[in-house]
Amino acid sequence: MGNVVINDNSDLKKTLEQLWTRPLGLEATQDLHEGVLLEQYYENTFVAHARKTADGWEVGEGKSPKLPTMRIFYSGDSLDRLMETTDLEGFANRLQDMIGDRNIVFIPLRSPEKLGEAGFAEFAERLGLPGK
Amino acid sequence: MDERDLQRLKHAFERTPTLFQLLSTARSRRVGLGYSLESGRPETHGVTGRKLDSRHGPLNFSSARPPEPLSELETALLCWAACGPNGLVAGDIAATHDLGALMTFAGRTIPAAANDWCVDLIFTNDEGTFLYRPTQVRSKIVEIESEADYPKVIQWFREGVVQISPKRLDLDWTISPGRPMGVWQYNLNRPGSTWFLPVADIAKGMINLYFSVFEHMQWLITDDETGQPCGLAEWARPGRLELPITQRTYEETMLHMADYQQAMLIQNLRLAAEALGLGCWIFGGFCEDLVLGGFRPLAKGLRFRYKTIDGRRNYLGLPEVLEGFGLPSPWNKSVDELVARVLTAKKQALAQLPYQGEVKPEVLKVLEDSPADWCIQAVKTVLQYLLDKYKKFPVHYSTFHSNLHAQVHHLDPDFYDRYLKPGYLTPRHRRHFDDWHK
Repeated sequence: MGNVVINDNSDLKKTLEQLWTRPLGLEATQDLHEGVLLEQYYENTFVAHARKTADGWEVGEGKSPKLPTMRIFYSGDSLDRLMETTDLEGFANRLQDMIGDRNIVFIPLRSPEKLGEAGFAEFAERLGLPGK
Repeated sequence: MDERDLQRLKHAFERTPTLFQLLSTARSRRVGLGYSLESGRPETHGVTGRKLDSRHGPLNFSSARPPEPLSELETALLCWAACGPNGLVAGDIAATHDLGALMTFAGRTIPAAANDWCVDLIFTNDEGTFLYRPTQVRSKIVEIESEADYPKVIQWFREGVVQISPKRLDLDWTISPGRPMGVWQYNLNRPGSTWFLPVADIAKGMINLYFSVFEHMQWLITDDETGQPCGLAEWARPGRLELPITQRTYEETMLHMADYQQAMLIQNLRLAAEALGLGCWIFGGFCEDLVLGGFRPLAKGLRFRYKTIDGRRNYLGLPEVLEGFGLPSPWNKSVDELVARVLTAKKQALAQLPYQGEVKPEVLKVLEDSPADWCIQAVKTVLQYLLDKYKKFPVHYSTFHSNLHAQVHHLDPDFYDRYLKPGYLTPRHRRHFDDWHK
């Protein structure tokens, strides 16, 4: 997936689907509990939402029908760069860099206690993310 | 003004001990003229008429001298030290980093979060119960620079004190069971004493700082019950609201901020009393509901308006005198009105600025444009959400609090001479009447 270029014509739902439902994406998010609902933005657009299921992610188009657990904002070529990674360590390092540069921003829509219950502490720990 | 009082003001500002000397001698001194202690004799409280049942004990004492109320000058000096006008605050926060949080540039002797003045001072003495609320107008950076300024202390007092009752509070030690005013406050509210009761409105600062935490700190206020944003989801995006903070956590933060102000006020009072050679004791841990007026079968207290919701009282303030910023209340008809009230207060801050020369247009613009329109809308949204769901604001705590007080009095040296090792009364205490009343 190293050559994905995102522009106005991109199928972002598909791109996000590829990112999170490929084995590496599933491995990275394995700690999140079933039912966790993410809402994914690219620049200022509601792109897709993803609901954690027993064995993966169910990705839908546009804004989430219910209040999500977390919103993830992507900007620039962050999706492209994230999909260049091939193992969990590389994925985690790239994710950390992009969070540091605010190319990816996680905005929780639940209090820290609720996020903890949803498995985000383990998710953050596995990927070395701040704010767990 | 009486020439002797002018000399006494000069004495207060120029001839009382230094701060470090005061800190060395400061003590609680609880026994004043007309007081008693484990005397073994039943007596009637001179204010409330209730029976004081004092068992006999080893420190038994009954003052042989009549109570002597504080003079107007003494009261004015104590009030000024507590929270009186002292000039303009510096406003040395970066203009781009929320200088607009300041609710006023008028300074007092105590600091306040965003200078919100959420704490007011009430005192009760033989003349009644009063609110000390001197002017917000400041004439210069440091109001009291020289002898010529000393009389302002009296002027502010005379112009800024509002009588809220012709009577003293109807509270004392006798109220029981449980000694809700504290078993240690045997001589509370005795004739001749002056009881100082700071009251803090936490809702005022909460609304003001919602603007700050939204616009400058990206806090996303969440509902403790659901963990979801309090109606704020539409602003949950980068650069807007990013960090979830529960409403309870926010309220606790603001409660502490208000408590700090009360404590600093009381410490100022304590040091001022020490400087004047007066007795002073500080006390907390009493039943706040009793003081504010929530247990009226037992005592009327300060008679604050309150509304009971889900079994908890939200003390809203005193009509026309001290109208708090909580909801719902008779004087805040809607969220829109309440927010407008806070914004109006903030705009008034622009009337007196501390900067040299012409205020730079960009600074003025920052102040005039603060808070941003989206923030105003977000604040209204969170308030409406809380009001709709919990039927009140603040949700977890009362609007008003009053939990640290001080009583000041003229000391009876006979008690200290009879029971305590020498040194508890300084020469300043012993010659107090010579310095301040002759």
